[in-house]
Amino acid sequence: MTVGVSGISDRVRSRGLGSFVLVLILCLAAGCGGGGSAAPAPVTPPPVSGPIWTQGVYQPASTFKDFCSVVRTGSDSQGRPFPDKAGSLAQELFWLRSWTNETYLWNTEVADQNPASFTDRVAYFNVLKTSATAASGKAKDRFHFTLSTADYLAQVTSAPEASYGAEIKVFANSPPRDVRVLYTAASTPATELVGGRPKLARGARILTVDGVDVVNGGATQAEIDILNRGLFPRTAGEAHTFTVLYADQTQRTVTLQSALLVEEPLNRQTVLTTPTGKVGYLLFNTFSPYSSEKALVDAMASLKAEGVNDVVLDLRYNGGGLLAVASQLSYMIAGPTRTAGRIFERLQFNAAAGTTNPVTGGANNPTPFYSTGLGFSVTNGAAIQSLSLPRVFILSTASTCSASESVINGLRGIDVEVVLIGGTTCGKPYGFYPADNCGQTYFSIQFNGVNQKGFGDYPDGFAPANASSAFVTKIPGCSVADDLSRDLGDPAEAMLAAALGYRTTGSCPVAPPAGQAPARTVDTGTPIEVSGRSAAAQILRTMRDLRLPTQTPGGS
Amino acid sequence: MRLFLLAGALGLGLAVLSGCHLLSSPSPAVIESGDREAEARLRRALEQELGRTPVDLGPSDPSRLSVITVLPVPPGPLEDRSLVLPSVFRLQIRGGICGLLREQTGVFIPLSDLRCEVVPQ
Repeated sequence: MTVGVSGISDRVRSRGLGSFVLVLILCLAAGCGGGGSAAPAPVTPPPVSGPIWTQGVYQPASTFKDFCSVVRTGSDSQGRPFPDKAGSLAQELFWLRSWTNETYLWNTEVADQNPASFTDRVAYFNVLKTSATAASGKAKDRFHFTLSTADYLAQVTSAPEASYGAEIKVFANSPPRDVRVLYTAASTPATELVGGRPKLARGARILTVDGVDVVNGGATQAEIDILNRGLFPRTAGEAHTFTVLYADQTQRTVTLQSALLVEEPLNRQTVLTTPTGKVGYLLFNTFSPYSSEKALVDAMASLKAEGVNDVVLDLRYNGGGLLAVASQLSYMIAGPTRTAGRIFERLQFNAAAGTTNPVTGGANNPTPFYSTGLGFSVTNGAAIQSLSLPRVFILSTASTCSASESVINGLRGIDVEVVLIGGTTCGKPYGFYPADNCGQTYFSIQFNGVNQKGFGDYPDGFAPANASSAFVTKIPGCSVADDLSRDLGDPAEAMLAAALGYRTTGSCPVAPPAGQAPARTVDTGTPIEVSGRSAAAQILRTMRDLRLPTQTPGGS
Repeated sequence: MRLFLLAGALGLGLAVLSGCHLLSSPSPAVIESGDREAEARLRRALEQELGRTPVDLGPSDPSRLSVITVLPVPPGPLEDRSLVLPSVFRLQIRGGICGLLREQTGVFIPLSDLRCEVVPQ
């Protein structure tokens, strides 16, 4: 049962009439209109009563949308006027409650709590999620979070960020700390040559920053601040000095100056010649920027021209992004015949939504295998090349997430053989539409992406067939740790070597190759905060480190 | 002579029919090359249609191609499974009036102050 909008309107009208009668009586009592000079006594309007909570009864979210306790005026950074209207905290909380009931994927698993028990909208949002656990014991919903809309909009730009052009990962953030370079980008401060070699390189371990010991130092907040400012510069032009231990065990001191950089989605591309034909290798690190469309289209055209007969797609650090580009990538691997008449991904919403997308109100149309440019950075409708391969090798770690996992699942849905080499992926078949209400943007899981076969149940991630972990979704391939001792794209790098070996023999390496990732991974203790980044950027980095569930602002 | 008149009438009829066809069927169009003011007007029309400003155009050159894409608001770093797509518009001439067809909605937005030319087929 729901109470419609008209119910509220009737109450408002009724209250307005009451006020009018009250004013009339007061006016008459005060003798207004009689020509007297005294000002009428101030009228105190009757107290405005908020919406009434009845357990299990939800008014439409639209009833409460944009009625705010604090009204924004003007326009947002996109030039859109704020839609806010004068309202109350109660209306904001009732909007959250109804919106969750209408759009949250697991809406029937949310306990209906009385908004009157809450005095803070973020605190209320935090309880509006399922408390169920996945088969592995992990929380079923690990992706529930919120940000102020100002912070959110500050992030939705493609503006460059201050950086050295190196992806730095904190493997252990309490002493003895372990901070290493995962990869660098070409033509950046990190790859400037000194003495004939780049300042930073994959696998390099940072030992000191501006004289502070990274491994065992950081005893005071001042030292921690120095580490943060050096590792994650806030602005361009900052110079910081590092002692670096390289993968070949040589050590030296280098000074890096930060610059404003935009991450290139395609970090490197190469063609490996083997006795059984050419193998294309792509290190593709993000689907997010609009340039990712052109980068992939150009790369695939190049691989086609080279005549490759297999592709190794390195998604080990790819946390996702644009689903449409993931679809294009999958099309370019599978080709027109395998994708004809088939879908890349269909969104499953909560049961009450039926065939409608409860967020947009429109039809729930699936994402096809896009076979042309879409207009992000390739002209809309332009033909794109495809390799038409029956299989693909995908390199993965726990940072391989979301849209990257869609590539795995979408291709498996049309029987393209996906050989997974590396670690278990993050396990996020879910997505959301960010929703602003009254200056707070909420991210609440609203859909589960499923492939052509209707499969999308991989909350604990995809894993290679010989992985020891239970509950994961196992697919053909080999468990291999990230090998920081070799450059990415080097045929001797453990994961790429395993892919090439599997391609030849159909079997996995017998023993884990030497020189792999540090044994310790992210842990607890006094952390090096990633304070040089904005809140959202911190979350992204945290997400890549799989610490999202407990460390997101406003998350739970 | 009668034959000549008949042929003339037939030709006239065909021309009229052809003209009607041209008037009623949309023709892909582009704006005149180098007309910066036309580009600015086009951008303003797109901003008005989409309700945000400024808008960023995709890889489109409206003086060369009739298809124009407007980039969506970029996904934030938290949006790892973003469903956004560019908005697609097509410059057309309909009934002698230049305008934009919004592909997703089918709505034609006349731009009476914009001078377009038909894209050569």
